[in-house]
Parts: sequence; C-alpha cells; structure tokens
Amino acid sequence: MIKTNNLKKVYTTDEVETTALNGIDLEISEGEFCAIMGPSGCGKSTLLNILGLLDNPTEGTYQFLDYEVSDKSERERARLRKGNIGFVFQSFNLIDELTVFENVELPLLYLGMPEDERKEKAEAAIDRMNMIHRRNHFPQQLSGGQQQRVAISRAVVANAKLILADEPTGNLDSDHGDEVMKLLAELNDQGTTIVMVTHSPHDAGYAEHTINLFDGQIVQEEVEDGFHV
Amino acid sequence: MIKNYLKIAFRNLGKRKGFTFINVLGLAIGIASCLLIAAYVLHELSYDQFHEKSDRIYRVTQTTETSSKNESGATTPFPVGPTLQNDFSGQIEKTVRFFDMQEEVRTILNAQTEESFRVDHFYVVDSTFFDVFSADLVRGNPKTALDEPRSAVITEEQARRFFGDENPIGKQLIFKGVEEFTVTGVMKALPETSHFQVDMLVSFNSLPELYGSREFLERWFWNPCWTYVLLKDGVAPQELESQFSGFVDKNYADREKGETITLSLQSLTDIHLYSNLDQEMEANGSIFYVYLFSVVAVLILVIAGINFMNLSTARSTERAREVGIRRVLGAQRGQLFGQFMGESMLMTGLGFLMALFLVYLSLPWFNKFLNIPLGAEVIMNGKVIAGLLILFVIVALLAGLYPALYLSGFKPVSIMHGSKSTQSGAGEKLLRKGLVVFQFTLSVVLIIGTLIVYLQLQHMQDKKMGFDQEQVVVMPITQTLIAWEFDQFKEKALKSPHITGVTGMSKILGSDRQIFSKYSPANQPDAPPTNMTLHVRHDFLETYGIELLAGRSFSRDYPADAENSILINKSMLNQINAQTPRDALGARFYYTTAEDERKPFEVIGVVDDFNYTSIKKEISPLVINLVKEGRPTVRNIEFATVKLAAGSTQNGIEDLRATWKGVNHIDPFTYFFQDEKLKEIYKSEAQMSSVSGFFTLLCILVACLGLFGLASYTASRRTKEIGIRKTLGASVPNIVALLSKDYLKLIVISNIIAWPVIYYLVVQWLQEFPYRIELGWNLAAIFVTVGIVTIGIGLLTVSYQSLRAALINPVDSIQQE
Repeated sequence: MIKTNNLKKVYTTDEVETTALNGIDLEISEGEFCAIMGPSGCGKSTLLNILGLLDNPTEGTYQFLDYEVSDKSERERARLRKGNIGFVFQSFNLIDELTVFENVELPLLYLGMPEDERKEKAEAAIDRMNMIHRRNHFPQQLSGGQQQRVAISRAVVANAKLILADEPTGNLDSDHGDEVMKLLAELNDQGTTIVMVTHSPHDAGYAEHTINLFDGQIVQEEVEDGFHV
Repeated sequence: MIKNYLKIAFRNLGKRKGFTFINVLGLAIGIASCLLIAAYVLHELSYDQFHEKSDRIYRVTQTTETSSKNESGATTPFPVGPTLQNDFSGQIEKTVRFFDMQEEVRTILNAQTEESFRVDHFYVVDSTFFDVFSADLVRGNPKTALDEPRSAVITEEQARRFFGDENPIGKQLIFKGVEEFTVTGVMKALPETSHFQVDMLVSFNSLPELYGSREFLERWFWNPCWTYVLLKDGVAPQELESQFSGFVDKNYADREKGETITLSLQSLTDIHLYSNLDQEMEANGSIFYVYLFSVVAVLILVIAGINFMNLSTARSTERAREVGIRRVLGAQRGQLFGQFMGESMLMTGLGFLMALFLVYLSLPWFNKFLNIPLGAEVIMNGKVIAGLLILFVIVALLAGLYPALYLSGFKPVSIMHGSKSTQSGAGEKLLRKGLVVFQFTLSVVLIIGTLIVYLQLQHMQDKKMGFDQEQVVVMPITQTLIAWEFDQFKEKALKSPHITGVTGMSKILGSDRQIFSKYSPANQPDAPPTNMTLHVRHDFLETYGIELLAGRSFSRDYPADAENSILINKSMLNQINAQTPRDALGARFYYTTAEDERKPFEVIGVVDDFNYTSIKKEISPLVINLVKEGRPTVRNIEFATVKLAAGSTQNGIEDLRATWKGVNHIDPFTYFFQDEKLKEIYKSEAQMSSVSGFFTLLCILVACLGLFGLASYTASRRTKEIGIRKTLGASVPNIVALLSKDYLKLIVISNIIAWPVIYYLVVQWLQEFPYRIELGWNLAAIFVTVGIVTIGIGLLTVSYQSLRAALINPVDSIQQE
C-alpha cells in the first residue's frame, strides 16, 4: 500500500536548512498496524504528513496504492486523500462550530455524497464508536476521550483504507487512551491499515510493525517476527 | 453544502456576538448614511424635472457690465419675452414672464369676509403659463384661466385659506386694498422640487390697469421680469443664443454708454443647483452641497467598508485551524473560497438590512432637519435599488475576497503543524495599518473641513454685517396706511418706553434684493451711471447702529435733506477718488429723473460699510437717500424698522401692536425680527453645515468602531504575550501603553497626512467668498486641536480593550493559548 524510496525532506528558512527526513525506505502493506516512534524532532510528523499526502517530499519516490505521488500537485493529492485516508490527531481537530454529527459528516460532504446516504453512514460511524447519544453535542461539551472517538468516527466514515494517527492518545489519560487504542486495533482487525506516530511504547505494543526514527533516518525497524536495522 | 456553510456562518457570527455587532453596525451606519445622502442628492437633482417639457424650457438671464460693475441677473426687461417670441418665432414655441410686483410681502383680502391673508408666492404671469409649465388645474380651464385682466389662479391650499370649503371660482380677492381680482382657476401646489413656488397667479394683462399705464411695459431699462422660453422641438439653445447679441443691439437702444448687456439661456433643470444670480425667485440649492455630501457619503462608505474588511480579515486568521481541518478532510480550494465569500455575503446582507432599518428610523428626523419631504419612494426606485445591489456585491466581494483567497490558499500541512501561517504576516499587518491610517486621514480631513465650513458660515453671519440685528423688529408696510402715516406711527411708537428707535427702508438689510438708481458722481465721466441705492427714513443710521465715519446723518434740522443730500458708504470713496471719508464730504452726485432731468445731490456723510445685500457678495458702492413723507415715491419704503429696548421684547411687541392698530385698523400687524429673518435667509447654509457636521460625526463614529474592533482583536491575539509580560513584572499601565502605542502612532500619522490635503482644499473653497476667515494661527490651532481630539478618542477606544486585557489574571491568559 505504501512504498517509499530514499525519501528526503529539507526545510529551508531564511538562513538555515533543516533536514527532517534523510533517505527513508519504507514499505507498509495493506492491513498492517504500523507504529512510528522516536524522540521529539526526529521527523515522525513530517513523515506522517508525507505519507498522508498533506505534503510532498523534497527528494525520493512515494507510491501510494501503487501510484507515484511524490511529484503530484496539492489538487491531485487532495483528490487521492478523499475517501482513501483518514486522519486522527493528538489535539482531535474537531471544528468547534459543528456538532458531533456534522463533524463526522464533513468528509462525506466533500465527497459530494447525497444527504440520505451521508446521514446513514455518519450515524453508523458514530454508532460504531458508541457516541450516538452525543450526536448533537458540540465538541466543547465532550471529554477528551469522547472527542477522540468522534475524530476516529470521522476518519473512518468514508471507509478510508488508511488511517494516519498522530499521537492519538497524547492528550488523554491512560484509561481513555486505552479505549482509543482498542478502537484502532479493532479497526485494524476489520482490515483498515493504520499508521500511528507515538511516543508511548505501550501504544506501540498494539502495532505489528514498529519503525524507530532518529534524526530523520530509520534506525530500527521491527516486524512481528523479527528485527532488521 | 450551502446549508453547511450557512450553518457554520451563523454559528460563527453568534459565537462572536460583540465582534459581529460592531462589524455589522459599522457597515450599517455607513450604508444608512450613504442612503440618506443619496436620497437628498437625488431630491436636489430632481428639481424641475416634473415639467413635461423641462428639456425645452430655458430662462433668459441678463448680464450688465460696465467698467466698475458686473450685475448678473435672473431677470430681464418686460419687452424681452414678447419681442423674442416675435423675432424668433421659428425657434421659440412660447414665452412666459413672471413679475412679482417687486414686493417681498403681499396682503390679500377676501372681498366677502374682509379677512386678510399674507401671500408669499405671488406672481403676475403671461397666459401661456399653463402651456409651458406642467401645473395641474383642479378647477378652471388652463387655456383661458389667465386670459382676462384681473384673473387670478390660486392653489388649493390658498383656496381653503381664503374660502374654506366653498367653490372659489368667480369669487373676488382684493389686492392692495383696492384692486379686485376674480378667481378663475384652482391649481394643485407645485411639487416641492420646483425652483419657484406659487400661491397665487395673476394675469399679466392686469398690469396696465394696476399701474395706470402701459408705458413701463415697453421699457428696456428696468429689468424686473423672469422670462422663460419654450423652444420648439429639436432647437438647440446655442442656436438661439448666438442671435442674442444682434437682438440686444437692436432693442436695448436706451442702454447707457459703456454698458454691455448680454442675454443668455439657462436650462430650467440647471436653475436650482447651478444658478446663483441676482434676483433669483427663491433661494436656490447649490451643487457645492451636492458634491460635498456625495463626497462625505462615499467617504463614510469607504471608511465603513475598510472597517468591515479589516475586521473580517483580522478575524479570519482565527479560522486557520478550521480551514486546515477542512482541507485535510478533502475540501477543495474553490469550496473554501465559496464558504468564506458566503459568510461575507451573509454579514454584508445583515449590514444592509440593518442599514435599511436605520434609514427607516431616521428618515423623518432627517426630513425635519433638512426641511424636505423625502419619502421611501426616493430610495425605493429602480436606480437606487440597482445601486444598492451593486454596492452589496462590491462590499461583500471586497470584505470577503481577501480572507477567502488568503485562507483558502493555506497549505493544510502548515496549518496543522506550523503555527506560522495562523499569525498575521508582516505584509498583512502593514496593509491593516495602512487602512487604519487611510480611514483616520479621511476622518481628520472631514472634521477639519466641516469645522472650517462652519467657521466660515459663522463668520459670514456674525462678523461683517455692520449693523445691529438684535432687538430689531421689521414690519412690511408697503401700501399699508402705515406707509402714508409713517410720521404719526413713529411718533406714537416712540412714546412707548420699550421702543427706542423707528425708521423705514426700501429693503430688508442683508437680503439678496438690489435696487439701482441713477445716481452718478459729478465730474467722473467714467463712473457707472447707476449705483446701488437704499431709500431710508430719518434715524436710519441710529436705529441700525451703523457707524458714521465723517459728516452728519440725515436730520430734521435740515428740511431740504430729501431734496439735495445723500449719504455714501466707504466703498464709494474709490469711485469718487476720495482718500478719506472727510475728503468725500461735499462731493456732488447727479440724479437722473424719469424725465431725464439732472438733479444735484451733495454728500453730507460717509458711513462705514455694512452688508445691505447678501453676505455672499462683496460690499459695493452705495448711495443712501432720504425719502420724504408724502412723496409719491413713498412706495420705496417697504419696511418699517423698530429698535426695542434691551430686555423688553415682549412689552415692546405689545406696544408696537397697539400702535399699529391705532394708526392702521385695516392691515394685519405682521412683523419679524431682523436677526431671525437673516437666519432664515441663510438657513440653508446653516442647515447644510449642521448636516455635514452630523455626517462627520458619523464618520468618526464608524472609524472608531473599526478601531475598537481592531484593538479588541489585537488584545485578544496578544493575551498570552500580556500574561507572560505580567508574570515578568509588567504593570497594568505598562501593558496599556504597549497595546495603545501602535494605534496612537497611526492616528498621529493620519493627522499629519491630512494637514496638507485639507489645507489645499480649504484654500480652494474659501476663494469663493469675498469675506473669508483668515487662515493663519487659527488653522494651526484647529489642526492641533483636531489632532489632540482624534488621539484622545482613539486612546479611549483602544485603552478600554487594552485595559481589559491588562487586567486579566496572568495565569488565565497564559493558559488560554
């Protein structure tokens, strides 16, 4: 599903050049649960952005669903993102002015789905996360764990094949964090590919494929049945 | 999708109620002011358009030039109309003359009931009146109503006044106590947008009977008639005008040597706004105010628009996160653009609705203020509605375009992670500051401009009149018994302890009317043959407190004064080559009588200049002559003036009324105060200056609303910084100073930019006035004062928000991020 070759990302500001990613070779197959770990500033989030088609690499190739995307325009990438990739963020990133239902419905709206179908799918997604009783609440009226469950509903509502999670438990206490991790694992069991950036070894334990980043390079990669460096 | 946009737009507006309110209110005030002004401007521009043939009607005007004077009058001699009709029958369809008997007030008596009424708008007109002008006759036949001598057409309102509910046709009205007229028609009042108003029209061929002679109707010297021509279809006015010089040469045979007479045509629809000639029928409007108000309207709108834009874009940076999320979830740039434009339209729409409501609320008040009957129909016409729609689109686009383009262009990744783009960029900040400077520059220009217009008008009214206006009562006395029994009236009046002086004169001092007589200085062959003349009774200078510079006033000790003596004003000294007032004493003038006799007069006194005609005109040389009791020229004395003792206005008026009744039991006692009359004469100026003052205040209010919004926005953006500074030891005043400093700098810059602009404009504008305020230290003082006031207002506006931000507990403000 995901295949990168010698991926590089260089940020250039006025005087300083910062290499965030330096030659990442990576392969994630469909149905995998992959965790990306590493200290702050190692390039985890940059990698996730590129994998999520939010950003382009400076160098190297990236094939998403066997399709070369490293040189595609934002418009093109947006088209690919829609319906294929769902995002879950540490800070939930729900729109404060919209209700739970409206937040979840939003990706379908941008897909141009008719209203009946939207309603059905959004409600199903919310129900799946056990949030249906809160469908008309606004994000501020929910706890952090509940908000993250809404965010996951939103990520899966369009039947995304890939969910990218950026420290999904970072803002949650351990109970709520576990709950969220279980939901992600459940999704993975049902066939959704999950790539998660995390600090927490406990969370990474849910993954079958772990990548350790340091200074923009993969320093350790572990797949369920063995190590390779 | 639209539903979703609308929903989020409404929720966004609701979430920031204060912000929304300020933003929408500012816009609404701007649009409402603009609409009110538009209504006024449209009203002014619509003058005389209601006449069906307005595009073919022209007024003939006459300019008389000599080496020393230049009189541009709206009036022409009696024969001009018929002669034009006769000479140019191929081009002219009809002509109409108006003659007001040269009296400022007329009293008309109902023959049956002997009740008398004052009639203000009285004209003797040709029978062609109804062929040229579109006036509706409710009763009577427009073709014949003014054919017969002694026919009168009155308006419905006057008919009710004179006759109540009775049918007025065939009823008798008495003019000047003896002249009978028969009512032959009742007409609807002319619309308010007519440059002349009518209460009563009298047939032109009554004149020979009224004056007992036809001779004056043939004279080309006296020019008391307003003459209108209706051109035939397709005739260009220039075509006719080009033949006027030949016409003048042929007909104005008895004009004086060295006198150049020019006739011109003036389009009917231009009269109200563009004509400011001598002897206008009524005070006209001025295109100056139409321009001034239009500029003010545009400025208010621009200021409100800038606010709207500024606040919307400032707020939009708060929406960056939302934009990021939407982009990550698949929103296209176009969709986001649509969303923000939609919100802008919604806000703008709210502003327009509120503006319409404000107009609805303020229109009656505005009408009362301007004394014009503007109704909803002025605004609710196709053009204005189309204009409003265009305006709506422009405002919505301008206010929405920038945030829409800016926000929809965000890269999702940068919004989600880097905080860089959620901050206002340097360029954007500069733009915002630039717009604030622009707004305040406009405001300062408007404030100073209005102040100077106001000061100039005050200056014209107060300073240079040169005669007493307070406690001075004026009574119209033409053709009343008082005119004949003047000395008896005076003697009785002076017995009251509340009355200190009585005199009479030919015109209201300070009014536009001008009287020329053939007084010319002896031994000055080049001097103009006529001079402006004021006919007075004894005690004129004393009653009006006019200063005598040399010689003496008219006196009963010199019984021959009326026969051989005149007074002149200071401006006359030049004309007779006198260096000082004293030099002029004894100078000789010749008066040319109707029989072409030359009678010598001697200058016995020189008075200081006073404004006997409009203060908008320079004081020209003046001859004052004494009218003797019982002379046939008694009709030269149209007004009696009484000076009341200080503090006894009420008693003085009562005594005056009693005296009047004692001498004259026929005519009703009518009077006015000199100062009030002058106020009335210059009312439109005063009104205009207060209206522009009002709109200037609105301008400042709108600009301050913007500043307030912007300041609150800045304060909220800097909450965290304020918290950190406070934990590091900054005091509340430190914080307030920090937040206010930037804006104060902008206001100071605005003032400095505004100064040269306003200086240039003011100097240009003042050129038009012969008596203008001196621009020197007072201007500098105005500049500095306005600077301090705007800084003060700005400081108040900003410091409220700054203080609020500074008083927040630092822990709260740091955690807020």
